[in-house]
Amino acid sequence: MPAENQAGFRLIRQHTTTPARGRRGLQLDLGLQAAHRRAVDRLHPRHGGDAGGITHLRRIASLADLYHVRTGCHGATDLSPVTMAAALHFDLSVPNFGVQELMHHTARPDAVFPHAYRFRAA
Amino acid sequence: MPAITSPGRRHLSRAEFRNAESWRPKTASPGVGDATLNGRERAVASYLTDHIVPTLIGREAHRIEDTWHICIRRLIGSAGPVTMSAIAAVDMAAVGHQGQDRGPAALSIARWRSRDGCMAYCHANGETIDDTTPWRASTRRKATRPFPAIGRTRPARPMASPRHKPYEPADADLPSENLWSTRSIYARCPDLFAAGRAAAGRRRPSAARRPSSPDADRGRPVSARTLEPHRLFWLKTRCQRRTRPASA
Repeated sequence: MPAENQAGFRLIRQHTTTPARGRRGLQLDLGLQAAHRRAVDRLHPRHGGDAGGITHLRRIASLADLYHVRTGCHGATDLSPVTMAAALHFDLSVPNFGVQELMHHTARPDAVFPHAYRFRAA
Repeated sequence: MPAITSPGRRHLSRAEFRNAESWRPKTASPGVGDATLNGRERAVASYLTDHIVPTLIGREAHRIEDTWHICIRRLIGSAGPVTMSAIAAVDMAAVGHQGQDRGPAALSIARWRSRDGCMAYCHANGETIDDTTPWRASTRRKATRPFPAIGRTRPARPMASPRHKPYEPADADLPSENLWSTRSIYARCPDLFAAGRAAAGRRRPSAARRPSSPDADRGRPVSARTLEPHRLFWLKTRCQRRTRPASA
């Protein structure tokens, strides 16, 4: 579904009670349009590519919070542990955090980009 | 200056390039950002070198939001994945530099801290229902996989990978093309999620799917409703921007 097709999100919301998540590609303008129309319950931004870093994402999250929309940051292995660390810092800081995507990096990226975050079973 | 490195990527023949932006305008403590763009890093590196770095020279590194505004407002109608990846890397590097220079506690983002940890979810993957649902066992063994999601079955493609292969969408040098049958996927979805719910217990798997035809779009709401009894965490829909934003 094209991100520009906000009616598509509304169609999904009209037919199910399951929370809907807008996938990445929803930049600030479209994400807020979707939030304003109650078409999505989660935004799925990416620190690079979709948004311009922590500063940009905090602005998006603050505006989304007005519409009771929570965050669910992209966390796939196409981004390095540096971005995962930035996403986790962002997740810890915003009040309307929802969930964080996680695809584990292998040993080589972890060795090239050492980090202090860790995950454990809930 | 940007640096491109390729530390590899699991189960892929494709080399992965990562673009780390190091920035040390005044002090010896560098900031590191990530400008990875899924294989298009050389374009981002070029944009950083030619357009962003000259902008940063002489600027105060700790004025993070001011620097971000300068970068954004100098885009001049060219906002897109390459430029936003570059700006994101600069912003991450600025935050990291501030943290190393003044200590993590001095970071504004640390002062805004709202919680002690955050919930993360992983992806379950498989060619069949039996192949997809055994993730519960691996979840118990590996404490680092707290919250699997169920998704991406390819019913019309023969299984070519070992069981429990980690979910990896970038599975080839070029984007892969798969056969898709909406009727087939919807027919097996309730069984798949029933099995997932039985395996997950109180946990809440989500649905991530990649329909590729108009039929799938038309049928999705019906499928979403049939999945409600399984109490999904959310419904994750593939969504791609196809045009440039009007504000760019």
